[in-house]
Amino acid sequence: MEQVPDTFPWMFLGYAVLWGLMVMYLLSLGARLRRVERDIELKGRPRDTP
Amino acid sequence: MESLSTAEKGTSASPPAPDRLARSLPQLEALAILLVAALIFYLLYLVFMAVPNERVMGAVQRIFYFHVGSAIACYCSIGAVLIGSLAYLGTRRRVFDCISEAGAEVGLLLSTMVMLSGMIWARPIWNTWFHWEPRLVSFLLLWMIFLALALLRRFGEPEKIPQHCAVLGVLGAITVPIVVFSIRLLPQIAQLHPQVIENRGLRDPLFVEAWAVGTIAMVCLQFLLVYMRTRIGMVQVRLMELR
Repeated sequence: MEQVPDTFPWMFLGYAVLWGLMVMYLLSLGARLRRVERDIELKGRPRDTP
Repeated sequence: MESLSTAEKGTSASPPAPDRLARSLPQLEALAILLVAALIFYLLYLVFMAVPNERVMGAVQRIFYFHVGSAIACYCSIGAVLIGSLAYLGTRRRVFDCISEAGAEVGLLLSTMVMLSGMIWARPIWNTWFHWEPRLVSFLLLWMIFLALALLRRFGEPEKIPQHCAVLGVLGAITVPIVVFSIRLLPQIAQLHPQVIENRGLRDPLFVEAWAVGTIAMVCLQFLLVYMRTRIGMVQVRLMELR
């Protein structure tokens, strides 16, 4: 009977890297969106007069 | 006419365009996110629950479905860069520069995913992380072009960034046909990268289904990311113009 090599740890590492990169990118997109929303709020707020 | 004047009044009373753009999430957008999420969950089900273990490589072969899908999505990203760059050079409208920028950024993410997953797959199967052969070298070149575009955006001369990136984007797109056809430059015996689809095809129908779903899911995800990134870029441009 043929023995299938145990490459499970490499598969796990591969998927961890793939999804890790994707999650990091989505988090960075979310952070940029929040920054833009904050900038818009600052723009919309009336300026304080001294 | 009356309705038009009412609409104009309504427009003037409504919040400014960037505000509306950033806050409103149209139903179509939510539907696209749900569709992509469903496709990815179905792909994960196929890869981890349905597809049998490959006879020679074992579990690590399951990287294939995301690896190939990400590579094809990466080519779509450079397509977005090419279209955005050419349109920007022709019209000088910032929206096309934003599309080009979004394509380059998503392309860098996807090409990094392809490179790293390929290296992790190659280590147990080829006993090396990287091999200097046409497909891998040409893809490394494509990754470097995406990296160059990202660095140019970050450190370029602010007034000339859109023009410089557009020119580099058009030149970079030439790399894609080289990557795609590089596999035919040398005979199969002289390179490690397999010609699975060209030669034998995938044996099990479930392999084919998972490969097709993987490609569709990653391409849809790529379009969604490019769209979202373009929207953020457009809002940033409008905010800069208001300052």
